[in-house]
Amino acid sequence: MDISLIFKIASIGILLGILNIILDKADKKEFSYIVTLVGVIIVFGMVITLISRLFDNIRAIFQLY
Amino acid sequence: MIALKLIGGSLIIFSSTMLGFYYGNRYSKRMENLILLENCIKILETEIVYGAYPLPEALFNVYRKGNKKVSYIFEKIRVHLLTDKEADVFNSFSTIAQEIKEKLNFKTEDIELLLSLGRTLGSSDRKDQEKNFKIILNQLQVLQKEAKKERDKNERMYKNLGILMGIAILIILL
Repeated sequence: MDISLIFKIASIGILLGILNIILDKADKKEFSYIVTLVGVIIVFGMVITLISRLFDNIRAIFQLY
Repeated sequence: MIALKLIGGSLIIFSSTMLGFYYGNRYSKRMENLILLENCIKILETEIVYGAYPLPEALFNVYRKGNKKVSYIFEKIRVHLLTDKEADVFNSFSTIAQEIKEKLNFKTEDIELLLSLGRTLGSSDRKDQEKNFKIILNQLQVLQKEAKKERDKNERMYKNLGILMGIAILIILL
């Protein structure tokens, strides 16, 4: 288990929060929406391998082949 | 390895911060140049209405008296006016339109205003010219107000955005 991934995701979350506030203040609501979406996609790209591994493990434990 | 990462990361943050500052500064530069242009046009008005100089001389006086950041365009207009014997004043004005759009961060409506000044310049008597100058200066005030509003809204946003985007790229790459 790689603990640095959690810190990375947390820092991305903080940055996205700040970006959202700034863009909202500057009356650019549509951009803040897009920025949030891009952030979610990036984080998903980071964790998607871990999630697939989790499902593999579940299948191995309960012997659901 | 760590030193390499440190250098690369600082380069990324530096460049994106610079990009943000560049985009943010365009707004304040437009505002500043509009104020300087207003001063130049006011000088031109005095030269023409009260000084009654011929147009090339008046333009040269504007170049000397105004702030050189903006008033150099009047010198260019003068040179074009003296060397090009076929075209009228408006043609001389329109030759610099493209250049000032890039150099002074003007928008199309600012340039259109300057061109409309060139259209009326030297085509009627002094009283009429005075009225024209008044209209142009009024419109310039409106444009300045709009530029100020835009600057207040966008400048800080672009600067913050540059820094934060740099940090975001760094975190994703790390």
